[in-house]
Amino acid sequence: MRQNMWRASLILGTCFGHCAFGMNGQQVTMHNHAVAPAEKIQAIESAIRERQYDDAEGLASAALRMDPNDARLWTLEGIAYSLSGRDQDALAAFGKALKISPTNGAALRGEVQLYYKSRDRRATPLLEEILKTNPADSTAREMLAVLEARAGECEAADSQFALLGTAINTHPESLEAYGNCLVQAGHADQAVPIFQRLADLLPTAVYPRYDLAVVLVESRQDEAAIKVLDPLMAEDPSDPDVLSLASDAYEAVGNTPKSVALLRQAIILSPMDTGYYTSFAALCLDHESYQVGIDMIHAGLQRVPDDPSLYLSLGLLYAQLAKYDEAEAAFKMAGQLDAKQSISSYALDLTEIQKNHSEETIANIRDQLKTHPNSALLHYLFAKLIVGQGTDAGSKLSGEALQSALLAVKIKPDMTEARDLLAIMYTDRNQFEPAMEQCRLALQSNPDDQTAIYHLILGLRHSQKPQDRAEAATLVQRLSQLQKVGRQKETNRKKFTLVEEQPTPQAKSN
Amino acid sequence: MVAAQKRPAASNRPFNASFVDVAAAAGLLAPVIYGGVDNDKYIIEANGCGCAFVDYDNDGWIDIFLLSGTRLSGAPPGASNRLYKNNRDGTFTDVTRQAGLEAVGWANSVCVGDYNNDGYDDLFCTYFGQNRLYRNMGDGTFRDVTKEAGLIDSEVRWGAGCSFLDYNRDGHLDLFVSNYLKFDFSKVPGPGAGANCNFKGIPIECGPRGLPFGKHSLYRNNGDGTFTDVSKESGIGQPWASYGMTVVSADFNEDGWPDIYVASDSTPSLLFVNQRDGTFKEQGVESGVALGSDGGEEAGMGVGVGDYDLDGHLDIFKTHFSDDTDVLYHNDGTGNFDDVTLQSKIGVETRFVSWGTGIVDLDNDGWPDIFFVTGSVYPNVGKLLPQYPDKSPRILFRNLGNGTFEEIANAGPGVAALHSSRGCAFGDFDNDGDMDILILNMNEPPSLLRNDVDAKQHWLKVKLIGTKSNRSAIGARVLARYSGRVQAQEVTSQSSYYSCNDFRLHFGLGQAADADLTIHWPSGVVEQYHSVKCNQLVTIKESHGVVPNLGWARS
Repeated sequence: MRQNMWRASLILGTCFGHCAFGMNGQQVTMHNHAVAPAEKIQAIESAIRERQYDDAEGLASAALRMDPNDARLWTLEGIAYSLSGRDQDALAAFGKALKISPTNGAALRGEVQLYYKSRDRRATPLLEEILKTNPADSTAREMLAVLEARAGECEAADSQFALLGTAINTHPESLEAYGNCLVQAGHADQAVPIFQRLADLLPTAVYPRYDLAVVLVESRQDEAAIKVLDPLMAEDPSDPDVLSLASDAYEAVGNTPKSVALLRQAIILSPMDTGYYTSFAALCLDHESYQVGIDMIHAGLQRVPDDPSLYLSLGLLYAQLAKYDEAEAAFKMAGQLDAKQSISSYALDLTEIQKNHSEETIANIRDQLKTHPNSALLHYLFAKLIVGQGTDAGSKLSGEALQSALLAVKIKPDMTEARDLLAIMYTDRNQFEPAMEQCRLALQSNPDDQTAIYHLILGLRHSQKPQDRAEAATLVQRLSQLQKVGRQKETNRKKFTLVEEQPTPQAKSN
Repeated sequence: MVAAQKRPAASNRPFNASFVDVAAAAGLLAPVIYGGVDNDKYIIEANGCGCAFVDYDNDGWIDIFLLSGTRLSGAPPGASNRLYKNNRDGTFTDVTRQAGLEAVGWANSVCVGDYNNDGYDDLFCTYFGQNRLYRNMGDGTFRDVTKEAGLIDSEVRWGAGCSFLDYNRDGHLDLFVSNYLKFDFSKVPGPGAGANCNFKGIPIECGPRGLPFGKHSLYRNNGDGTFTDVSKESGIGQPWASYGMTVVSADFNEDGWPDIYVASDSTPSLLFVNQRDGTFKEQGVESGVALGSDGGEEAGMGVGVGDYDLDGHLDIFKTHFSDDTDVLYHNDGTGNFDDVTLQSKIGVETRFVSWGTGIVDLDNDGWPDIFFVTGSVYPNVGKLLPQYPDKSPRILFRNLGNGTFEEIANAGPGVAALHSSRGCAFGDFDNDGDMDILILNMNEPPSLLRNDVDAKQHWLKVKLIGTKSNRSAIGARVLARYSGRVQAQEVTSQSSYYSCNDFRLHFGLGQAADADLTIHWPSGVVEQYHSVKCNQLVTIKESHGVVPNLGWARS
């Protein structure tokens, strides 16, 4: 992408006229190890301007034989190589220039440009060096942000993009990277205007509108998402990803029949994609239509018999019907098919708990943690199980549970369930300050976390400070409001039951 | 779904009480009619009703009052609430008709109290339809005085829990009524035909989720036999998000003014804290008695109130649905409660839907135990999912005296028997110094569990008669000090599930030969009685001291 790179003339500009100025004209320090005659420099610059790169390279080589320690000559040679597509030679030339003159702005930019072209992370320290010298270099900042985003360093990238403001408004790659990073950081709502800009910028492309719809659904702006998705489906009714996303949006606004129809269509269009079957199973779980879900998962297993996620869904559906043996068999199969993932171990453990085999489950989890030491889920389940046994808060086992829960949040800081559990454990120990701290951290990840709100209230009631009492009263109201919303959602969700109708399942309103 | 906690190793300590169902021998033969036997179509059929131990004729022997329901197809012959007079020989006589208490309808709960202070305890019964106040005429009969008392509702309501209490401490019993939900046969869909109408994929009666909430009511006693609806000005009548069920009024924060706790189904339970100015403030969440330990709503149905850890403060035990633990809340004495369900090991039992309950010393060892009855609300489900049976046993947790409880599997055939039960009441029907249990079973005759306790343990019963306070002494708090510990009990008009216990407070004393008593009367009077000998009933009249017992065989 060109938009977030320096134009060649800008790099050259730093060299032309004595190679002593930075990209934006600011003066940079030049180490005057040697000085080539001005005529030679001008001749090379002239050849470059006239796009006579071979001539420029020849002139530079000749001059360098005379003045091998002239950083300006190496830089010009690098520019010539770069413009003629000889990237490795260019990198070697820039490297020599920088060895002689480490802060040579033109050489630095040239080298960065080449690394950045291939999204090579070696550009990162160079960009940081440039920004140290010139924090206002928005091109360097944008390149750094994109590289950080690509490396998954979204927190760093987001702060760089935020500093850039509207400077990236015409740069699709940067907008996309920024939007994706905001989503990864859990700020889907903030990503909405970013993807909206991207969609406006590329009105004929599908992906920006799809991305926009994704963040709208994630930020619970489902009506707005539908307004984006409906035209997309009209343009191309055969894109299963769009259909599946639209299914999510329609379900969220309470139009379950449409949601089911879209998801079924996605399955028909892409019958080997197990994600659509598991989404259908999730719909069935929400609508207490477990047998319909089981039938659909079996249909999926006929096509994709070795998919662990299908068995996982199957187990969850059977568990809801209190068919724990079938659920256990499905979870075991999921675990056998993908021993690396810990989620089926987790589900299997849950089934064991429901069958009141808690002691065996604790032993199982200890074993599983040897295989999956970094599974936040297993650490959490281990702690939860011990807490659920009413283990004396002062016991060694309880201490082990506390450590496991702390490990879970260390591995996955946004795991609100584990933070809620920690709040409960600290409350049991009458340690209200750390309990409240965990509640507040959980609420950062999920402001609607009712367990965290409740335990924060319980912690605050031990305080005599008027402001704490006031906060508790506000939280009680908030909790009440969340309960009300939860009840309404539950009723809306259960308004429809999925029923099997031959030849295809459909949603039916009650 | 909450998993049961692991059962700890058995204590192997003997439990010196055993229960035998003597209902049939005692003459309690009429079945309690309530809804469908094999299937329920509407939730109105499912919740059942309560019962009471009440000494309606003041002969010193508690009698039995049992509510009854009806059927969608109409009440079968004989369906009625029933009053059984205690014959003082282990048997009872059905005196319903002569007492004027025959009534058919969807009855729910009963609360007892002498609302007109005439010396005879009256009955208030809640209904889907119209609640009924029965005045005890003192001659063995009751009169329905609902209309003249000003308690006629202008609309059909689903009266659920109720409790007499003297919220303004004027010596006259006021009345609180919880209303479960707004129910309309023409609007509620049939089983499986709407939201909240399935259980584990099986069609069941719809609700309560998804149905509109009822509004709770407070009626102030005008002192002339009539009541005034003060729901609005007292703050009770706000539109709380609550499917209110059993009501217990007691002074939970020990400020001398009665508070009101409402177990609520599938919604936060409510604690109305008396503001001492005729108003109440709902503080269930802040007080820690509204929700489960995870902050989630629970299916609160029955409530037991007692002092399980002998610290002089009233704790709360609340029963819930199957696949959830019941909850034990420990009171720190200020009205702040902590959920100690798991620490107390109550969480080992999650198999059954749980209803009537009590924190009652059943073996007289001095440590109050926990008892509750169980039974499914979905009679059809058990046939398809055997782990959710229609009929299930009674559950008894003995208090180990160290903050934990142990489920007792061999407390006699009366406990192990399988029934679909709802209300239960605790009292000493045979005046032998232990607590017996009356249990209401759905579409079966009731159970009367006679308790046979090892006589080596001591006990003390306290009967209170108010003078400045209401005559039933409802709201009086008694602290009994024995063996270096102190146990709090309070006279309540309703607890368990929609039921009323024997008004005589029963203290097991273990090996203690006597106890010191402190009585906090609702009027504010505090009285002390030292070294009250064990194994007796003492009747104490406010500001008059110990007075002769009424017809107590062992005095």
